[in-house]
Amino acid sequence: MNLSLQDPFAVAKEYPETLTHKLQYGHSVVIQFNHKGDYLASGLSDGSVIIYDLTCNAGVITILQHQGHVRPICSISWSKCGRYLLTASQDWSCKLWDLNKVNRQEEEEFEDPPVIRSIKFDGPIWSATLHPENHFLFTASLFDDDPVLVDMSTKAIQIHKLSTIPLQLQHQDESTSADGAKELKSVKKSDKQMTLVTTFSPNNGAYIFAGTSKGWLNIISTETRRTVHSIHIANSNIKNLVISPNGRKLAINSSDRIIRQVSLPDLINISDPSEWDFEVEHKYQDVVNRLQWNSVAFNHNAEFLIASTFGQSSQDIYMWETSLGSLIKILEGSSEELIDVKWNSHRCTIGSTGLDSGTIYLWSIQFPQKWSALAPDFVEIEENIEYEEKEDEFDIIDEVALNRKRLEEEDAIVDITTTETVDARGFDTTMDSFIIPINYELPLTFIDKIT
Amino acid sequence: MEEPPLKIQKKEDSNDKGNIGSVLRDLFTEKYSITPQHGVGINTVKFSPDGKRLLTCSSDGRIEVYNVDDGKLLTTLRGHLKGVSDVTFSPIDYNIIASCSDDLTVRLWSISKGKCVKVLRKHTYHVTNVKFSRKGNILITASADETITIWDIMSGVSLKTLAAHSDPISSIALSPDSTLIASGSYDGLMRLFDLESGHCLKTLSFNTSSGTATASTTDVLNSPISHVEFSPNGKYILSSSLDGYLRLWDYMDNKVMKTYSGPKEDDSKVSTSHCCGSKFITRSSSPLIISGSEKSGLLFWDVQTKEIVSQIKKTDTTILDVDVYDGGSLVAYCTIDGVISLLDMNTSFKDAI
Repeated sequence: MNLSLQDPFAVAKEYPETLTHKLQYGHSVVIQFNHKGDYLASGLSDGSVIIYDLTCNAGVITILQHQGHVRPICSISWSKCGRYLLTASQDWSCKLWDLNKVNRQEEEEFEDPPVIRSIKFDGPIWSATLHPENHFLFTASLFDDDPVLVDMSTKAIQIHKLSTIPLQLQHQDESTSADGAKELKSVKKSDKQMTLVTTFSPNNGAYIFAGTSKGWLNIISTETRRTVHSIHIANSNIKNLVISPNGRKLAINSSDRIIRQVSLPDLINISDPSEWDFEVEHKYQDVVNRLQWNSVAFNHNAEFLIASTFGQSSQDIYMWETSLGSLIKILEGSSEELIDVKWNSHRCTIGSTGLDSGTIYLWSIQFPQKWSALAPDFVEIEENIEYEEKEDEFDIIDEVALNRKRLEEEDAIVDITTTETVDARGFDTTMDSFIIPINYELPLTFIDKIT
Repeated sequence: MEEPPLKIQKKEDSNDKGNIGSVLRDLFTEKYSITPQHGVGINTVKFSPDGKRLLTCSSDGRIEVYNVDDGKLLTTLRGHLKGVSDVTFSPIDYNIIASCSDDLTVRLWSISKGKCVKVLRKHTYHVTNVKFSRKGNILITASADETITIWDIMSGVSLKTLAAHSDPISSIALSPDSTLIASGSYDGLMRLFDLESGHCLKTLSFNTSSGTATASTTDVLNSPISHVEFSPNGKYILSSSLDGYLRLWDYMDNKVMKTYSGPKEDDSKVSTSHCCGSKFITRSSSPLIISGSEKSGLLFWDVQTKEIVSQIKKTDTTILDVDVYDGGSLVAYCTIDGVISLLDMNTSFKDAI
């Protein structure tokens, strides 16, 4: 509601331009905004997870430590409702947190810990992503192993292995198997590849997108767990796969220093996977410096794409406009290399983590203070104007008559109950999001550790 | 507990609104009345968000929690050295309340433990109003030291101080999404602040003459604002001012949409010396506004027609605050001489849901 009273030009801005905040508590390595954009989870190098409340730039809401990770966090994923958080760490484990169980007395947390599921893998995890609708389902890419789909709905956790081999090569295998096992082995060995990243398609999560070390993109059905479509996008490692929140575009960051922007087909209405067409719309690269990209992110409607740059010499975030593929903005202000980058559309904020200090940098829109807001009968004007006295300016008005007239004019119907469903930026305001409980009785000394 | 018969004053004077007070005369029935200590004014009455508890604070520094069903006293919280002006429940933890007092402190209390868990000090004069943000982690207090302070509860530090008024702030309200603070002050102005940035976004003032409306000019007199309240959808602000009227503002347009006045026999004034609370009732077939008054008891207006459709008056005493639960299914009010009453909306008037 505050937006409708702010400067409309500032509200209409589509991307932030100024570095406004730095959050510094521990060494942050990965960040993630919740879907409503009012909380920020930050994974630290010591394995704990901090959740910040972004309203009013207030501080830390909770620290997830108890029964938590012991090695650096490598990925964080929020459930759509905002109540559950999936974290993956370099200690080879994934944990699902129920945020309704945080901030209680120590004894309570001991008996009924906020970690409701915990899975230990046989090796390191690249990343883990929660299903958009089912917070008990997640996919993870593992080091030197096939990707997995994990069902945690019961305490007996089911881990399903997914295939790394692209669909086309799978068929080859079948045909060559008739010729003899020896030949098959050699084919397989030369083509040995690993899945490095996995993510769900947005909205219904019907498909898993997986990127391999040989530049293949595999699309796997979540329901049947079979590869339904594969394409060869690049010739090197796929480092990041990011699908825009509206499901229209996919960004593939690979180690050949190119970010490929792919227009996604309508995965829901075109049911035959063989009819899907993946067209590379743009290739983003820094031709002069040949920069590698650390990570990429879209805004909510895929109009903009941002990427953080690799290397100590560059400390910027590049922003492209996706329809024409032109570079429109370089976000500056940090004094170190930036690693993770995330876009919070609801608040029009971009967040990023610094490599050396672990500081979280936030770029957002600053609203100018209008002094005329303090005096209702003053207006801000661009230049001096000659004041013209109104004809009735110093007339003596009969106040009784004026008041009667005012009262008579008050005949409009006022609707005091119907609420607006969208805010001034066009976002749904009716969306319910979980509110993390607070322990009001926590002694103030707890905070001394933070400040 | 005795149940005194409820007197609904009928107005028989022959004015153009001859039948006011009888239109919805059976709108509410009184469930019970409590007088904890006669003569000690109860400043605020609040329902817990689940409608099970009733919270009151009084001029002698006591905060009391009652059971809504039977009016039984559950807990008394003592600690404030002077009168308590306002209390409120945390929206996310009904066991926690915040209070503010003339002893300059703001306190957080645990009801189950019956003790104060946090004291916030910064104001330099009487603290008049306290509100929680929607997520319960931010506290907003208004004070007679002319400032509004925004506190982060987890750390206990004040995040921002909004100093824009030039007289004591009598009342603050928060928009339903907790992004806007509306404040009413004795300088006669209502200001809207952005909770996020602390910027003043708008100033509203009502003055009778046609001259300038700014408080800095002495030729115009703005009546002090005694209470502000957002409409349930947050699009309008209901203000009470000490010129005796309630006004419903369209704050986007800087316009008074409706003016509500008191009964004719009380000079059409609601209150000219006390800050009387007001609320919206949405459960009735057409929305109503309810307000306490200086000597006319409890008044109910139809939002659209501006007419008094009901009046509940037992004595001539001033009703300082009202609160509603579930859009008006339950109404509680408290008086300056120490009476707390609970009213029940008769089912026949409830909008079918």
